[in-house]
Amino acid sequence: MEKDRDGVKHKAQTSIALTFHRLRQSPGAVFGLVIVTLLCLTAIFADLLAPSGYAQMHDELLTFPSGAHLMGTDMLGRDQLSRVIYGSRVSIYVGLVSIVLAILVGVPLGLISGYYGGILDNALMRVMDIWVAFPVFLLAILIMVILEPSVNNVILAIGIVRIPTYARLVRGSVLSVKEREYIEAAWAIGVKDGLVLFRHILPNCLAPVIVVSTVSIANAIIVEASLSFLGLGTQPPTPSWGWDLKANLLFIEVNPWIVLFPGLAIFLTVLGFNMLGDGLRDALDPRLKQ
Amino acid sequence: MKEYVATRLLLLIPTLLGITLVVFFAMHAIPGDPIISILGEDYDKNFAAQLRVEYGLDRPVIVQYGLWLLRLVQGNWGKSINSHRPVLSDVLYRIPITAELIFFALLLALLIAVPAGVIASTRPYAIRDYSSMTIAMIGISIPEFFFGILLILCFGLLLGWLPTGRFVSLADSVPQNLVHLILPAVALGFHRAAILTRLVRSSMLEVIRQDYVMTARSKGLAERLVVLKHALKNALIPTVTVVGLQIGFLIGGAIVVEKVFSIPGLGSYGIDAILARDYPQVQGFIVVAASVFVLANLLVDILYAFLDPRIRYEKKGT
Repeated sequence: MEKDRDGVKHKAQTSIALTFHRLRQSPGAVFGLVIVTLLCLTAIFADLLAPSGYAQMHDELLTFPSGAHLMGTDMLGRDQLSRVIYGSRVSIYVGLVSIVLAILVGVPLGLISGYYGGILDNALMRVMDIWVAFPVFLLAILIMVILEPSVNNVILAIGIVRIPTYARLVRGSVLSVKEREYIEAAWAIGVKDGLVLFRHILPNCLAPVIVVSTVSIANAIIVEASLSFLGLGTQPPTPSWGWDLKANLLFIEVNPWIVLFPGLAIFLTVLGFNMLGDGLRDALDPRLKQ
Repeated sequence: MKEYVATRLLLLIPTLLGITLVVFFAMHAIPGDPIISILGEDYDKNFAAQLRVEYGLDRPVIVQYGLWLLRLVQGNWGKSINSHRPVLSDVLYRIPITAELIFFALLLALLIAVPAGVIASTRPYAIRDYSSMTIAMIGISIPEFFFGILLILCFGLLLGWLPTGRFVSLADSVPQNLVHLILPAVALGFHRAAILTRLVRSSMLEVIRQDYVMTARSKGLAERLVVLKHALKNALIPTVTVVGLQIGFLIGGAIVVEKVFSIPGLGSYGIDAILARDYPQVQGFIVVAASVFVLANLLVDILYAFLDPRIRYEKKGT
């Protein structure tokens, strides 16, 4: 416990604790966090939770939700609930890994560009300008034309498309952080560039990266589902919500339930990440809250 | 203003050249021999060599790019590998279909977003603000193709109010075409409306706090007038930019929505071409889609400079 000027005792709070405290006060953010946590748990424990294997075929085809199959079965007699549970793995995997990939390339590019400035900065940012001149989804499609459709190639496509987002974002933060006095002080006492960059500048640029990442994961999940829906993403037998929607769409008049469940799974997942992202934005920078 | 427009138009040339470069080299990066993909695995080697010369594939890559660009400008976009139909005429036939869909989706998005954003911003943190923001959050999180499927289920199959079957073109019947476009336009526009509502709300909140709005209020103007005449005008400037960016997303969204509703637009054409590995078609599709995006952004930039005089003066000064 620390005492303030008036002698009142306060519990010392780190910025992480403070962020959590603010996050807890937003019902939307808590809702988002619960969905994301449940989704991650579902993906991790899919083998335990799923009533049957995702490729296991039953005798009943295109059945409506019932006690035996809570979400019904698809045209091959596969349990829809099991496919939705296993499908969470692909969504989470693509969402997380593609964004980590974009961060690993984009953040260092932004750091270097903003810190060193000059010709390097100009050249890097012009390349990024051309990069974003292509609509995101079109660029992802173009990359998928070159690469064969598969989960890992979808990750690569989304990761590549998202690099400029992080490079530009971090560059902007670096430009403002490097003007601060403590950076000048670090230079004055002869701290090396690498140390200034990674120890003093990077941690102060991370808040917007975290916020953008949460929303980017949501977008990545939509892009994966859309690509798979078009037949350009995850390929069978790997269960993917987008592919299941595409395959089940043919039987919508026979059994509407089989398109509802994979679609709802995508929607809830994206909603969870978006709400968490909004909450994090307000918690990390309350000035932005309007 | 003229000078600004002229500069922007000149900048269009390198941008379009950049697009053709990306598309050409992307197509070049595809593994496999294009001649074999045209002729199939049991091909005649002499004929293949002849085709290779005919298509200029025996020449250096940069020469190939030059020749391809020349043919592109001359309107010779090649023929589809599968249907043997000229790519350019197919693309030109499909552009109006997609353009119509995007136009109505954007119109719908703006018709929802501007009033909803303004209503939400006039009473921040009131019930109407929370409800519009909740609907906007749902709109942002629901993928266009799933929303499209829900619309088919609800208004097509369950209620039977709107058609979901074969698309009717504008040339065949205007009223039928419009009726067929309602569900796809709503599916495509709702997601954009959600994004724009949030944007209009936050720009309105920013503008409403400014001194000139307070002046307008303090001189006794009616709140309606303050909001609609003074605040909204300036709050819409950032919206115009974002609308430009939305066109890129709308092209992406249109691809998926066209597949859901079986609309024979540019998007369906492109995806079918990709799945069939019909490269002349894929090239045509991507060049057109990316060029439309660039042209839309150019239009928005010009409109932006027209709406906000500071932009063109800043450009002049630098």
